[in-house]
Amino acid sequence: MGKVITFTSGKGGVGKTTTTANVGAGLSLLDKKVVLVDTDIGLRNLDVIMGLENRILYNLVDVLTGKCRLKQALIRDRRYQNLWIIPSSCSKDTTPVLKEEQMKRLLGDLRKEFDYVLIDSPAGIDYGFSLATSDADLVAVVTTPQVAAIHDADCVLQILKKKKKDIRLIVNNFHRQMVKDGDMLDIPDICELLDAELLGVILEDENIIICQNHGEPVMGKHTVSEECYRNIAGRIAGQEIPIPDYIRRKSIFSRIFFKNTAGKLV
Amino acid sequence: MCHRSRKTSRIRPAAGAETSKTIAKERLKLMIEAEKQKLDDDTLNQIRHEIGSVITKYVDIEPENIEVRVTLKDYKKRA
Repeated sequence: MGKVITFTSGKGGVGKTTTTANVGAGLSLLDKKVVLVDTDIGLRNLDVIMGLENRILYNLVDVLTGKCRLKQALIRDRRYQNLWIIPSSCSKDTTPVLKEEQMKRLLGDLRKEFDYVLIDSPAGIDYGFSLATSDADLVAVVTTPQVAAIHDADCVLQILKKKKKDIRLIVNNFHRQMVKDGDMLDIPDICELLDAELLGVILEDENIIICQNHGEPVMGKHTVSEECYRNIAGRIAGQEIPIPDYIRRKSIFSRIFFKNTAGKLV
Repeated sequence: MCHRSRKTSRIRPAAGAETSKTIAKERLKLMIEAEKQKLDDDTLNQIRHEIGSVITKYVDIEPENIEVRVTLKDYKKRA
């Protein structure tokens, strides 16, 4: 039985789609069969970031409304061994035509076929968000160390905690120098504020933009962020990978803290 | 297409290769153009419905018995 993991954030533009794409690529490199599902209806991005926009024939809405079979909407990413995506639609009609039961049925089918189903949730806390998180085994809340993103992440965390979801935190776009200079919130600060277990930290990396221009994940490009995504994929797959101390702290306390915050996933 | 110099540095394109910016712009142009040209289902249904109701004005036929097929030839841009 596969596992459904939803990447959500509250605030837009913090890197949900990029994280979904790269963690998915990372998991497929660990020999897992992975499918990425874009649930941002009307504003599709995942296929653009993966460079698969010219291969779309059918989309998520077509599958859920029965216009096509599941197999017809799956696009295989030929650069990786075991990676597929289901793109979202680009129609201007944003009425919520989709029901939670339809989504549940689809995820049930995907669970049988794949080891991991990664859902790219829309920003916000509206219907699309609840649709994307309703049947998730694990919800990864993506945030950046910026005040607005952390504030929105807290709103999302409160909602998810009420729904008794299994939640992990991913801190994206972490500038080491700014943290050293005291101009950016550090990881322990963010974990303390949000009271959530950490799944990973992604360092700030210009190569992410360059790879997206090409329509490729950063996997295999030997960049700083690649290692971060690989670590997250490894942790999801059950490996015990501690979160590196990116700031090289002197105090023993913070080192212990860092060793313990890398949560083990069941 | 790309090669790396150091782990912390930026991916540089090989000499003579297009910059990633040019590739991004080209991809986006294609996507935006393709999306403009697409008639979405709702608009198409609306067209069918309106043409059907015009026909019922002149021909004694039930609207459900009319089948309207829309083919766009040399269709570039929506107004």
